[in-house]
Amino acid sequence: MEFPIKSILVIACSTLLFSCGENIIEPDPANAYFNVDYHIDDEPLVYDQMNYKNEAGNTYSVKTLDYYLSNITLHHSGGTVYSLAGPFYYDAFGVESQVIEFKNIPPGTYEKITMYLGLSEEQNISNSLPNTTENFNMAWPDQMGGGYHFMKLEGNFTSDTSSTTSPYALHLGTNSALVSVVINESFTLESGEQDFTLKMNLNEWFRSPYTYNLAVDGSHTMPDSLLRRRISSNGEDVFTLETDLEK
Amino acid sequence: MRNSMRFLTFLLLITILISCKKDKDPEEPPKIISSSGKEYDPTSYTLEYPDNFPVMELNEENPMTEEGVELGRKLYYDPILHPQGSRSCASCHDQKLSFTVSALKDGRSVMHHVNLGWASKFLWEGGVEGTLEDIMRFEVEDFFQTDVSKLQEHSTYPDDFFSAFGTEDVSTELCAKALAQFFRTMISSDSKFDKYLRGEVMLTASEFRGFDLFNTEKGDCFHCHSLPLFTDDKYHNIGLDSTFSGSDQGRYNVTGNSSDMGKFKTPTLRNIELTGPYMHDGRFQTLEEVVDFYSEGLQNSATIDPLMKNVHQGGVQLNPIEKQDLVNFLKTLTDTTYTQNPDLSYPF
Repeated sequence: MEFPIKSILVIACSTLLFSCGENIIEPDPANAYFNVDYHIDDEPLVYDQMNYKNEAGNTYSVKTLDYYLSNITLHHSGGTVYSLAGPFYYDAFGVESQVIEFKNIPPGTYEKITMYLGLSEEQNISNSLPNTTENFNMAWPDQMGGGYHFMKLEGNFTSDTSSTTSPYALHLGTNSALVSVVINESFTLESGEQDFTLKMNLNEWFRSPYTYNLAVDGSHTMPDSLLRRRISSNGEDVFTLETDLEK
Repeated sequence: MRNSMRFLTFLLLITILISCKKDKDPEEPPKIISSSGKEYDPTSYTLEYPDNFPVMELNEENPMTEEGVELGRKLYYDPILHPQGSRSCASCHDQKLSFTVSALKDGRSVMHHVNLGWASKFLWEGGVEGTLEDIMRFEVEDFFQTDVSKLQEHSTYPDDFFSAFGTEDVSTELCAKALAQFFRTMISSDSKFDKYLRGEVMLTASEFRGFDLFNTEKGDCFHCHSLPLFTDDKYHNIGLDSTFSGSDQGRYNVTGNSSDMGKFKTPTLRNIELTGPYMHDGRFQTLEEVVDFYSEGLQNSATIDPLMKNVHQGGVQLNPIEKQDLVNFLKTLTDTTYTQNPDLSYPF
């Protein structure tokens, strides 16, 4: 058949096919995009600046902040949850940053966001993540439990009792140190596209429920499961949510 | 009835959509023929490496071919790259020593060429960052300052370039691409440690203990020399000096950023038994001296890497048996399959 006649028949049949039946009007779905940003209380995070002060009185810099987010879950007010398993890898000082995308979810009110900083027990298995250089560099040695680093937070610090500059490396890993993050902030998702920012306040790692002092508790957590759990427990409220309109 | 109508309509729709109409065959690209009548017909090169290695990112603008790899190998070994023809890449990168030499060059230890297909930072201070094509462009244009007219006038190179790239016009860009293709094939993955991971051999008790030291907080080597490449492809100040001047300033000499003072790129430890002297300036002659440094010799400075947690104690404080165990483990990273691979050897 010639092209014009074929097109007309296709259009006619399509119209016939879809013209029958009752019309049900549903709201257009929403697409939510979550970016990540970093600050230290009211200050933006700047690489290797020795001018941040934590709850314990340590003055510190940040040279490395690598971590994973996983099981990101949006809790709709109607009770339904929408999750992305991930994991998503982040380098706070990297050139590019991943965007967490929730596509075609219902608009409406969402009561909170929960997620892991780290990998779930199912994900935290040696060599299970895609073979990228970033994932290999995050490997947690098998001799120490295996799996992956959940977070590397590194820099230098001085304490309020000593001006000597010392290194610190707060590394989280093994399942007991998984951080369960809860963002207890409701937000409204409209139909269409909407941007949000998950803001990490690095001072929360040192704040509550445990005031962590790098000079007293320990500057390097990897060899000590107790230190890892202390940092991990502080991570529940390390993130807040910022919607596009608030920027 | 309504559903029957829908179904019949659907069938009619499908029938219309798939009704025959002969498509024209896509046009074949024109053949590329050389001045001697040869057709450009490269053979795709399949790169092989272990499943437990990172995925190697290839360059879409420089697809690997057997002809490109072979041309790159020739250029690696041919002093024609040098304007006076006095040296080649291989002059300072001897395959028997994992593609380095023991002599210092301009006060620098020569970095060995291993697994650079996974690297994005090149040279001790990261003087070039990016792809293998970027560093090879630097080597051809800036380091060697290659006179491409010599290649153009050569009896066989224009034909080799045609076979690899479909043009007889030699350029520094194509020299860089050919070398980059060859470098991607320079893969070391068959050391005793690799065989151990594959279940083919066992490590000795000392080597096992050394691996435990390497891969735990006791020796803490793994953070920078992460498996399986034994480098994290990053820069670190590991405590070699407390003050810095001249070339010891490291990455600072490239960026001018005080945070980079004393930082150097993490070299791979693969074949490290063969590649002394060690560190950017070759200050350590043996692996034993290197281990002594990490054990007691660290020096603090403002830019000391956070991973050097024992800097105030001078280092990780290994006893003599632990030191020997660690050295024995490092020797399991020697890969004679690599150092004797004929596909990487002198081709003429």
